[in-house]
Amino acid sequence: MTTRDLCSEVMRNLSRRKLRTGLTMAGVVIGALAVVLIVSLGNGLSSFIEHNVRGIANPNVVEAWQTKGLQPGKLADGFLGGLGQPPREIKKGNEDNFIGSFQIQFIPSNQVRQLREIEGVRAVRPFVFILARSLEVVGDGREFNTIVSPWIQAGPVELVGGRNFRAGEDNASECIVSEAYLTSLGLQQPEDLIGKRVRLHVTEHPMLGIIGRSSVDAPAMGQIHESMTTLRRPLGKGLGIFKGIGEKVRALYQLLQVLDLKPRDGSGKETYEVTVVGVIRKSLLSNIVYVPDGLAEEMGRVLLRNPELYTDKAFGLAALLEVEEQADIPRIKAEVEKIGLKPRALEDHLGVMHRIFGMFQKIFIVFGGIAFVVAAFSIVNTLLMSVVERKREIGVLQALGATRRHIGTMFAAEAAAIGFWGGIIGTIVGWVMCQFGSVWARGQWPYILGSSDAFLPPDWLFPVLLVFTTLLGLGAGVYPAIRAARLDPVEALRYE
Amino acid sequence: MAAIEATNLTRIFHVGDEEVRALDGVDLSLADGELAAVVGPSGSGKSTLLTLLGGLDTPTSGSITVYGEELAGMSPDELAGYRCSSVGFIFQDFFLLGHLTALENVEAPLKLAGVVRGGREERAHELIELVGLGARGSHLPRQLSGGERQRVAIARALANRPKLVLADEPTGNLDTKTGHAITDILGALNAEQGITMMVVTHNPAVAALAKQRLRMVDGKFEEVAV
Repeated sequence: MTTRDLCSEVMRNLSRRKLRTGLTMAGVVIGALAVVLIVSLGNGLSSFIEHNVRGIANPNVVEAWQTKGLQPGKLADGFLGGLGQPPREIKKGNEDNFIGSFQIQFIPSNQVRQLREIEGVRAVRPFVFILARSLEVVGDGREFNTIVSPWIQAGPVELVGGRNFRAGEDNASECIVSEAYLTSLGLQQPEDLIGKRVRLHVTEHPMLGIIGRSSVDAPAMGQIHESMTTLRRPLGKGLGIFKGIGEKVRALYQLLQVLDLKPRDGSGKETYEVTVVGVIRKSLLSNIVYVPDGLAEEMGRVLLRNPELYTDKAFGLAALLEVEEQADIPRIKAEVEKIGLKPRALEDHLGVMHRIFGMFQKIFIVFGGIAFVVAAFSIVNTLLMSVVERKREIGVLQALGATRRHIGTMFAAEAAAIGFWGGIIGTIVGWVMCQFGSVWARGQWPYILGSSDAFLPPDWLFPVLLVFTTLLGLGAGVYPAIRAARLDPVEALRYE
Repeated sequence: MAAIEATNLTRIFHVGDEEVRALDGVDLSLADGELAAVVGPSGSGKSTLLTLLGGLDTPTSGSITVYGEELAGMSPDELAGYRCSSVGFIFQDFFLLGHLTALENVEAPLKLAGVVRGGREERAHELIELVGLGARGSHLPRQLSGGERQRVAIARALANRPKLVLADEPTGNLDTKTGHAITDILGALNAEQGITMMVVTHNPAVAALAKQRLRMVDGKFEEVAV
């Protein structure tokens, strides 16, 4: 029997029981559809990150993080890392991982000096985090939400009007804004905004107040402990409740005092008036306002109420190293590590994001895989029924000279065809749904996604999926095919 | 050369603990081009004899030689090859493939033999004409009468030009008139094309065609009348 004859025979046999074939195929279709959607979503998001995150972060910067004292990761480990385990002993020399976690230790000045000495490093700046509230054009009166960032953290921006900050004018009262502000302000040209005076209303986040302090000393820790104990104590009974409430209010006040979280002047914000000197092409950070590094550091000092902050005396938890050549990044990272700090470059951040997405994608693919397992059982079941139903037909074919191999091949090919066509339909439907999904997502989040596809099926997906579903069908068809091939012709012919 | 030579042919079935001797030491010889009729009561072993001669089953003991080929030691695949090239079966119940047209039914054994499409179609048309169904070739079996179905089955049995045709009650499900027509076709095929035939039948008209009439009782030939 030729391959062509086999194919036409198989299609004919499958079309004899359209409903059953269709229902069996549905399992494969659902599996393929799920995998297409999941892989495409993962790929779309990865590609989105790759294109957009890259656009908003400076690829020429290596971060150097303090490894001692308070760090978000260690703090979490200190509280949660021991969940369900017996208390861990704090060994000499290892206090830093436990007790030390509660102390803030800035990068010491000698390490900052060492960072500056690394070859290929143009500048070393503190990592400044400013929580902005709004931008207001002087005389306009309206306020627009905003993100204020130091210039060193800017990605590969493209000026659409005006100029960059001038070298050496680190503290100039200037800013460069995203062109998205033109839309919000109802302006036409970048030039309409350049030269305008704007007020940046910036605020300090209460939690970040802690970071402004160079350390939380032992008496302060004692005070925190005492206040927390009072706060946790149950309220009394009867009239004692009022006493309890009074104690708790006092404890809370003391806690806020020791944490020094009360607003500096009662208003809780600072306002800086700067001139717009440049407008940049809109990126994912459409409400970004860049200020010169020196000005940003000044803002940070004021907001965190530490006049020494971001100077060599209290450099902060992380330093940003602006490198001359991107090719030097691996070497510079190695030197940062030698100094005793933890280096991180853009690629590391992207890598983490890709890893997280990759992990989720794998988990979801396993769910898709479950659909395939169900589909495989369904194919086995359908074909076993088919073998029984077509027992006499098999006997007739055997009488006409069909070999065991021929009978087996026919059933296996039918199973493979269910897999193949299920795969085809699943991928086509999946592809169509990806297109609709992308359009829908762009409609939902037009400013974030822009023209990006949320569902982006990779080129390799369809051929791989088709081969997989066909092999899945083939695999599921093996047992029914063997059963069919081994039928005794005489018995099969007698079957009613 | 004898077309069929069977010696001491025995086929034992096991039904539960019981041993059933469907064929019990049968000897048989059939000359090339001969038509033999096997008669006998139901369950006497006639059909079993046909399945052994047709290579659908293997004997418990004894030997069968068909045109010099010993069937007893053949593997399942060799038997399939033998059935495909050397034997044509005609059954009482026609056993046409219901989802295929008359012509496609005739083509089925040709497909299995690996004949290419053009050759297949030509041969199928030729055979459908031969059995007098020229106009009905594209009909499905359920659209055909019993007699027409058996004609298709005859055409199918002849597809790969077998030297031997084995027919199991070919007129058993047909009325007398139609049965006669089928008998005529079988007689003509034997007479004109020299195809060796063994027909299991209750029909005296079919039996009358035979040179050799064998009566089987309890798995043995009772008498051999020539």
